[in-house]
Amino acid sequence: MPRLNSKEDLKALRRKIIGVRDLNKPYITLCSGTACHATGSDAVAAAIQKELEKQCLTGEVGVRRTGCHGFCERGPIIIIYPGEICYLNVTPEDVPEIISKTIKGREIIERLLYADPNTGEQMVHEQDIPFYKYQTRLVFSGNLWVDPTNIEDYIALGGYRALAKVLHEMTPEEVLEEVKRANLRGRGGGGFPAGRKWETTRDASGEPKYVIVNCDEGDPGAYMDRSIMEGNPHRVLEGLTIAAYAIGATQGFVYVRQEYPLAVSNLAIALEQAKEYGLLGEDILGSGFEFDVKVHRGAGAFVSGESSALMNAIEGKVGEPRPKYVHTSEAGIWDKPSNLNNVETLANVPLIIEKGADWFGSIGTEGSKGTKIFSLVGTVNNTGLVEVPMGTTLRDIIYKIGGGIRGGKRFKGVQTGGPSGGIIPEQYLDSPVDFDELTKLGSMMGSGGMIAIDEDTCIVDLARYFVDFLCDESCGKCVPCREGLKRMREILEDIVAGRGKEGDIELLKEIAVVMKEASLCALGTTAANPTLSTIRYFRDEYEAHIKEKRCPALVCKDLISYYIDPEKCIACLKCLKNCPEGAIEGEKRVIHVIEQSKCVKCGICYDVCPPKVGAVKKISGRPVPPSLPEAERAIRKGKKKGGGSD
Amino acid sequence: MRVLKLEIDGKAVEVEAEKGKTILEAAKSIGIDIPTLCYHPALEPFGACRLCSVEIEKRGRKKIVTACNYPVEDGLAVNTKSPEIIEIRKMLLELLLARCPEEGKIQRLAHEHGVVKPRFKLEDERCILCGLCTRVCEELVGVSAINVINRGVERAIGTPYMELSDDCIGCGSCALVCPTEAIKREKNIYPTTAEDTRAIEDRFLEGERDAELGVYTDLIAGKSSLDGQDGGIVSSLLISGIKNNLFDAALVVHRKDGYGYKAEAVVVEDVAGIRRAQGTKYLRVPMMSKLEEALKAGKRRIAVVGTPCEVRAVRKIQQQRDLEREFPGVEITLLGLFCFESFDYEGLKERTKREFGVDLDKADKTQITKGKYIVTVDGEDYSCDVRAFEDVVSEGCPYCDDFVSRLADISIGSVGSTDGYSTVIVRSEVGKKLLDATEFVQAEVTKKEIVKLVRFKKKRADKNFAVIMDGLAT
Amino acid sequence: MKVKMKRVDEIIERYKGEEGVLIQLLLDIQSEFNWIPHGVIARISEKMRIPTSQIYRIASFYKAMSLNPVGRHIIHVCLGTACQVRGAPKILDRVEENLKIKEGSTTADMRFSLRRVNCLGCCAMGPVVVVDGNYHGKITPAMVEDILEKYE
Repeated sequence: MPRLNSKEDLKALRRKIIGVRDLNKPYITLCSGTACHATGSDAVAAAIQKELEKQCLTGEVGVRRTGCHGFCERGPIIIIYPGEICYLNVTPEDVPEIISKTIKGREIIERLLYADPNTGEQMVHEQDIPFYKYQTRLVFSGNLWVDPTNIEDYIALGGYRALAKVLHEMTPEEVLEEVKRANLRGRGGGGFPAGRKWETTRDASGEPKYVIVNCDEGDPGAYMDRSIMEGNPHRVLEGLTIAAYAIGATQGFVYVRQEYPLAVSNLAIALEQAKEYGLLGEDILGSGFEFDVKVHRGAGAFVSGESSALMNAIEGKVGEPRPKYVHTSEAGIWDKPSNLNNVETLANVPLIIEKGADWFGSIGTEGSKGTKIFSLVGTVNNTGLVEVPMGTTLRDIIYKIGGGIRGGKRFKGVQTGGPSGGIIPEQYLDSPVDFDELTKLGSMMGSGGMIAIDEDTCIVDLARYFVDFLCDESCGKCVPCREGLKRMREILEDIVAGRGKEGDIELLKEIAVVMKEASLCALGTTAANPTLSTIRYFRDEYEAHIKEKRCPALVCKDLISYYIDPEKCIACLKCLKNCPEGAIEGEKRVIHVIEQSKCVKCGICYDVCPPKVGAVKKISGRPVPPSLPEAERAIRKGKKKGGGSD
Repeated sequence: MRVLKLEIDGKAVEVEAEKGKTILEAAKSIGIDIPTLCYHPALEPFGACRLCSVEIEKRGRKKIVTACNYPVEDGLAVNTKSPEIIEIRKMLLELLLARCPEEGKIQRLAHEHGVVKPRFKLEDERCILCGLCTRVCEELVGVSAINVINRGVERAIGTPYMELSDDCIGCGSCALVCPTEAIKREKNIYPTTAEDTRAIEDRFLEGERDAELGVYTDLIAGKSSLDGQDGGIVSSLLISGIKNNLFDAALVVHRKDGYGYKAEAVVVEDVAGIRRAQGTKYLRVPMMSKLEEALKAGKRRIAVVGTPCEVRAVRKIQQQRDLEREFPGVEITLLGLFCFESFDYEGLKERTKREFGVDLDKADKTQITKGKYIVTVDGEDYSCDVRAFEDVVSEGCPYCDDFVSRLADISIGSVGSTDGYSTVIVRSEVGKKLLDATEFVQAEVTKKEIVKLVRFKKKRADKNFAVIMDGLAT
Repeated sequence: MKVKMKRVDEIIERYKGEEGVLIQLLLDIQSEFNWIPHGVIARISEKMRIPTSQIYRIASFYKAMSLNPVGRHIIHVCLGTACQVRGAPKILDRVEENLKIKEGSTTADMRFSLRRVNCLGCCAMGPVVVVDGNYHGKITPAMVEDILEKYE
């Protein structure tokens, strides 16, 4: 492939790619993001290849392995063209039938379609499935079409057109102005306007200037950046190159987590190809603009996502925040002006350039423009990546798209913003989701993790989980963060273990204030948010633990007991055989009893007791009922006591 | 010259803009004290203890910042004692006191702020993780023998793998700046303070205490029949020590086979091994880990030939650890070398190439004498002023004030003797016995030549230490 | 375990003369040996003229680097929030119980090393356990034993 030396070259190449494509030729696209890898998309891909050979169709049927489609709950997903037939949860065993029936016979296999859980209605096309229907996929759309290892797929979709426009028709100032006017706010955490950040770096004294993509994505529960980087890396590179042009940088960095191996390798391929096509390196698209990108792998540290820590890491030093009152946009890598944006932010940039700031501004709310990708996870029915306009309500996201809480459980809250965020309770389900609204509710946007929590999650334990996470992930440098977190963890551990005392809640709040005011970096100043927001909305749960020694969610080991309801037990031996401690007495046709002194509360009995029987109970805050005298434990043949499916 | 005007606790202050002063410095200049624990004027601000948090008001907006690293700005109003600030300091001190309940300095500061009994479970730590020790070691001394390890609540200070440091030169800077007892309890580094030196001298050495040469009984010049550098007296001592059963093995430095000029520490047990190690190396090599290795491998009666920093390290271990219990029967004979400074192998090689265009690895001999560095390759001498090699001097040498290995049993060097002879200083019974067992030809020593270099080295170290001391006084 | 110093030197050679490469170099060492062996830090120190303590500091800071030898198989149990609320703690308990080790350690027979990770980004699949890079999603405690059995 000769390199592209002008805007016209790019156009011509695109025409050529599209021109040779036969729209009537059958095509299979297979979702191959990390989640689908986990559910066996490699095996499905191999099966497709084998079956096509077997049925002598190789070459007649196109196969494309794309990035993540978002509906990870139901992966691997394949879409068959023409007709855009969408099959979910595909296994290698399904493949022969798919090839012979759907590819050859244009016949739909109903069992592989999405069926509405309520009405049973089946849907053939992805966009009809409720999970997709209520989304607005702008940033994420390319993932459905593009093989991330083939730059031509991206170009066919109009990729790099925005870059060509910028380089040949716009001055850096105009680009900056457009992004500023769009009011694109950073998707990585704080929501700082990207255009203003660019401007600061552009105006800062010092050369060279650097631009960096942050694909560290440390927030547990968030994986949209990974999916974009894995599924459509060129879009990020295009956004980065545009930023470099606007800012006047010639060197870029991609900071990507080592824990994302697929993102690392797809990115490496993308860089290679972009250079080969003249879309990176010297004289990009014949414009004279020069820009190069290096990859820096992060080595597993949440705190290194903080901008000054990230700059340290790129310099090869420990990824600890710097004690400096100067923004990295003015003095970052090697103290040179360095602009840092997250993956999703930059992926928005080509769209803004192509369609204009006005178009972008027409989506979203007053203060938050455009769409936002959320990773909707936790205990909802449809987990996956969801892209919606800013301002969509939590209820729409969780119920319309997410299909509500699984297992018919009661919704308790939604955690947003990761370890710096908070938990929003049910009464705010109708709040529109944007940067400012979430902050008002005591949480934050963060990178867009949205973890639904049901009645089975203990709020105090969840707060303890976040504090524990941060004890491990803080760099430990400054006193309020390190010592404060340690003491918060100590207090929360006491509370969940039934050792909570009067005054603990106030002490937690006191520590929180000092952490917020006096910590060195954003990790520390926000570290108390999960604790504070849970105290704010779920104080009664804290008090139940402290005053009544009761865990309302029946989670905290030290506050619960397992108990077998003699009315329901069918003496099936399941719990007895599975108990690792031998704490369950009983035999066939003799009601089982847990010997409390031996029980370690591992919960295995509870898990293995057939749901229909439901004899094993968790109780908290009250004593275990006395066990039945041995003489009364026998179950007479033919007559089952209680239980069953009532 | 532009002047910045600001107000601290209601007092007006003017600061020259070009100086880039911090709030802390500006406050100090008008006599306002802001408490600090991790600050030292000779080191980069660290921002870890947060005790110097103050409230600033700028264009009507209030913010809490740390005074140690916040640059003064025109029109800034600073409040160092607002109720919020006092609350912050109280909580920080409560947290620190719970961590280090036994530390005097923390107790004092806490009490001053009305914190007596922390509401948290008490720990038994000494170190507050202020990082002064690691920063002095890295930023000033340049050795980085100790560093931060781990992260989060597991963050600590230590040497790699918590093993004896091969980099520590025992200069004692870390102990000087440490605000607590923590550094004194570190087992893997060897900070020697004036008191430590005195205690070591009292325990191991005998003789008169000479201000320049340290404690000694005899000062002589000697020449052996062995053919080595500077009279080969070190080799003679080692050979006679082994032959006369004064020790069984010797830890020495020899050039590594097949590696040219590069050197390494080895344990030798026979004459051949000792002969191989002849000659001055001018390089610093890992020594302490080798000693520990030898002890663990069962060697007990060992002679160690080392530079002043290595001698200090060995003495510190003897003082601090109960070696007799760990390794019953241990007997260490310390042969100290005169040393002004040593070099870094990779650096010296690169510099020699650049300066003379010759490969150090092919050198027959190197020599530093009378301010000249001389390298002999293929029989040809190349020489220049040793100061040209200043920046490849091993880190830390400028902080070392010991030229004559004051803490050894016996010290040996060329300075003070005529060509072909070595100067020998006997400092202990052990050293005396060794010298007595060795045959050599005696000659006169010119003490003032030694004294000149001792003073020169001491002056250099004092100048460097003054930077640290100044910070402590303020 | 004998470390192949020649391999180490080759990896160091890749980065010689470049700035800010220490973390990348250590990651390469980590993927080569699955841990950062003792002598390697001294080797890097000597070749790159960086004090050992500075290298050790980085290696002890990052979770992706291990200063202890690892078993033949490495198990990562994800404890990201999504996995957490779907029962990951019980999975970890079960693995620990099964292997009789705590997370962060290695079995005496060097068969398994057990680590917890704070999110692998497969949140929709939670709880997730990864063994030697193979993802196992939607795990229940009862499945743990069968998964471990696959790795000899």
